[in-house]
Amino acid sequence: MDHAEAEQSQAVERYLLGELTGPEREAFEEHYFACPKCAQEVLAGETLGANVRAVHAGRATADLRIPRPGRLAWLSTPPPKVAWAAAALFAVVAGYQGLVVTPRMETQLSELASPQPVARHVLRPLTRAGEMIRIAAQPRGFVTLALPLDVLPDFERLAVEVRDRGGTTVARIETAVPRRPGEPLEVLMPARRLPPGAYTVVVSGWRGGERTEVGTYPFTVEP
Amino acid sequence: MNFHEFTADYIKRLAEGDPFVAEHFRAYFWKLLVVKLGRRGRPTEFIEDVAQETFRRVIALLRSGREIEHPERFGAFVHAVAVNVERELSRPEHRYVRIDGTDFTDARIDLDSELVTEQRKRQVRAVLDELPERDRRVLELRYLHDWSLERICREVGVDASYVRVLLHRARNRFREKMGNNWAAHA
Repeated sequence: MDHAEAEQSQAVERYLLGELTGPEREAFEEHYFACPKCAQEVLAGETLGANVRAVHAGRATADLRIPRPGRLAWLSTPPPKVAWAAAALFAVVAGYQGLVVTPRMETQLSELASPQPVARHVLRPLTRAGEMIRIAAQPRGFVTLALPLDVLPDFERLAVEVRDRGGTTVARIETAVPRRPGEPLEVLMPARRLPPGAYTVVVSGWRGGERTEVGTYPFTVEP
Repeated sequence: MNFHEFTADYIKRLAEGDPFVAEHFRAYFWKLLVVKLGRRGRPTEFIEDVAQETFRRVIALLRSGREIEHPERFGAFVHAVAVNVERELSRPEHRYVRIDGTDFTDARIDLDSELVTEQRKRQVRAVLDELPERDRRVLELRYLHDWSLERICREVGVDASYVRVLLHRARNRFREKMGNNWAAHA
């Protein structure tokens, strides 16, 4: 592919929009590595996209303002203050829903409906020697915490608590006991619930109304 | 990015270890590799590995006396080396594993941080504010929600050429606002 061909076929736009087929994409990539003009166009497009995302991240709250009412000629008499307050409140709620809640839900639903890789981390009980398990922080998605369970008396169910450094419980679930001996207990955690810091997973077993701690699993989430 | 083409002199100085050319070479192709591999969802660490190995091989080849027949095609030569390195590092025996035992990362977020600056955010905000509501929505659907072109066209009621032109104009406006030397602000 030469520069004229790239321009004629709108290769930059089609590349940035993901429209090129595999061979076309390879050919265009080979071209823009050798063509400073096209390389600059591609970089500008990527930079624009990255900054649109960054701007939107800060805009969700910045745009949350009460719209100024327009000049309505047919309204010669100002409405009562209560009505303006109600309208303003409605605008805030509707604006918040339209600008923040709905797009966020759309994104979250879209993410949940799409296949996605899940990082799996095998934690080590406190009683076992070795270095602290370190996990890289993720801004979104899920992480799986696999908890090896050495000895499991005849519990009715298990409780899993994730505690932060201060001992505050950040997540808690109850679950059935793994059926096969030696099978780790796996917990799927929303990654955003694990910002960088030190954590401990405490696994307890319940039997006849009595709770017994069966394992403690420290780990660190790193930025 | 303040140059217009690769020349025999550029390649010679790179082979000889000219620090300015070497710095330019690394910075220039690093950005392109970030885009190329990032669009394939490659993790940042993988991209770093590919880039370092590519740079090492290219410079080693040049120093070994390898002639670049068409200096203006030097970028394509670097690209070919990078493609080979990427293939090699993608093989199962080189499967990339992070230090914490996982091989997953959110590449998009990591790579965005390469390109986002406060100045650029201000300029992009200004570009977005100039756009009609529908055009702004199209850009956000594309960049923020990662909708496909087909889906944007269907939902917003525009055709593909409209989106391409919009993207082209928005990019030009952005570059105008950033000035000619926008890429140097990284």
